Amino acid sequence: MLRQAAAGVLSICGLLGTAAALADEAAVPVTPRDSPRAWLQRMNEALTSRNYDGTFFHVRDGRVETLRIIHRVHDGEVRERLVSLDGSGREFIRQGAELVCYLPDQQMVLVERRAEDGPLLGNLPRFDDGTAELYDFRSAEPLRFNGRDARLISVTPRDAFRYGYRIWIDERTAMPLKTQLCDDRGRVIEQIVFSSLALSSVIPDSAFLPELSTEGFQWLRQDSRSPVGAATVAWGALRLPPGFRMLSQGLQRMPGATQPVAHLVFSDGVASVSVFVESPRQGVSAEERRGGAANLGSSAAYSTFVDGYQVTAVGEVPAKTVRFIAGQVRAARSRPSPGPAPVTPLPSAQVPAFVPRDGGRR
Amino acid sequence: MFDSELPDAECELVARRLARDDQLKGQWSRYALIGAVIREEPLRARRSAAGIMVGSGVAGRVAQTLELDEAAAAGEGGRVAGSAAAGQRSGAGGSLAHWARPVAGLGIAAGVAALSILWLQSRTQTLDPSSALASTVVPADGRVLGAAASAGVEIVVAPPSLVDARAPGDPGASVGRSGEQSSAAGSMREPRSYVVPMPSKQTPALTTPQLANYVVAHSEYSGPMARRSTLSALVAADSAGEPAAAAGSAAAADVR
Repeated sequence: MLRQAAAGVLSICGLLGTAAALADEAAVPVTPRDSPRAWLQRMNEALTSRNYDGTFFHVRDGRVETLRIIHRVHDGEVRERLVSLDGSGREFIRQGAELVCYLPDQQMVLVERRAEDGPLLGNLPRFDDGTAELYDFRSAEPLRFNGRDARLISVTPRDAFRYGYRIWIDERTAMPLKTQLCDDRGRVIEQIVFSSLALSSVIPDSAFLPELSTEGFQWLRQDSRSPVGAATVAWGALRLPPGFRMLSQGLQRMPGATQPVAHLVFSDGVASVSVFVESPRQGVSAEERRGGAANLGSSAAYSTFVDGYQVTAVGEVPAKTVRFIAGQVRAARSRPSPGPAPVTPLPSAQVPAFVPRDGGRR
Repeated sequence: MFDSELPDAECELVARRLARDDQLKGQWSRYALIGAVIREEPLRARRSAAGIMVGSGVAGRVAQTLELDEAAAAGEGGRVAGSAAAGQRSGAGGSLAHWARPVAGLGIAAGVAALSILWLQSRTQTLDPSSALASTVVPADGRVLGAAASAGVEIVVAPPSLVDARAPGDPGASVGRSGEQSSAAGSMREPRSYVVPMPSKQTPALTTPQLANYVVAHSEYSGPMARRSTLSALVAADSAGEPAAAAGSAAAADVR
């Protein structure tokens, strides 16, 4: 076993051109470039910066959906199209700061727009030493996956507040060929398996046009031109699950919503949780006020009411985590209106592991 | 029963029923075997009643299970599978002692046992993901690949095989459990092919615009992998029974 492992590492080092002396079988050194976290970093970069066109299976709850993803970065602008090949026929098309969600089953189009374009890689989670206390990062010896040389990287949470991942990463392109989302006991919750994936230098604009007709659809846009105004209430969490920190909070407009919504972002370096706080609404029934939970694939949501405000936590974390966080959100202090700025990003020193793409500019 | 959580009296009841219900017995044995295979426990019986050597690798064991499953489905296989799991003969007249020993010996954790049961139940109720995978992939991707190859792009994944690191030449097993991994990697646990069926809490309000908005807005702050996963779930969301609710009229608080 050890010999196998050593041979595996030797062969990788050979590939990488780093002829490190690995005489000692017992203590196989892991080169920084070959560490699991380095692989994850490369995978994140590949996912966001490469041009690709792939078909994959999304498996969860015993159901399988075939989806196609087309991703292109051209002149600094990201275009991405995610389309359901069976079932709902939904399409999500991103162009720069705009994400258009076509929901034919709802006869509806949502247009989500970020206020500005930030640096592309700005919001990649960075796997720092703090993250290592929350997750166990491991990489297996090289293996074959679907005819390709691949690395199996596992990210195992050390508690039940977060999910883990198993990722089969292509050696040559660093693209994830297969991803499993697992709970803290290693049970698979969701799988994404590519059945075809092609990296291409040129992808035409026509590949990013929706295939469906939107005639008669209701279009919901957020009006990004009108100012969202100043936050009158700052929100915070009394307590957070281990390792989670608040990274930013600000106001943001939602498509179709009249009032801006306070958006708080928490992260542990791998997973992130958003908390949305909506102003009190009229006609909220007592039943609604009890709040409730929802699951959407790997995302969990929990909604509750605090001082008449509706507080909803959403994130790719277990249900107990969003419930915990939502229950801890309180108005920190009232601010004089009009405030200086609608966005209150934390000082960068407090954001070591996770930088939002927009720098907290909402 | 697998983890001594069941009270003794009920254990006895189950055991009695197992003793006379061949179908239940076969099922129970397969759960036990699945659990053992999942945990990569050395099986007690290296040789099944059918006279087939159980392979040393997980793939072999899974393949073996599949064969046994098929045999069980064919008719008198329930007993065969039972023998393989328990390592004992377990005919219709098998006594309680025959069952008590494997119960103690296997010692399956509650989670795994429950998981296996849930999984099997879900297979009967919903589309079997693996067979759907196998049937969907093959024809479609050949064409995609052919077109792409002529365009000179780099093909990263060469379909049709979703059956990753499985031993080749085992089509029966491939169809049954595509995605099952056969290569144990050092200290890393063997990845599983199945997806845990989460208790379905999906309600019509789940994909109402408010929640969809939240999820989409949140995805901007996720890593690329989590973002893809989140958006995929949204794209793939089952629309059956969802009302075309207008924005703002549906509260995420409704979601249960």
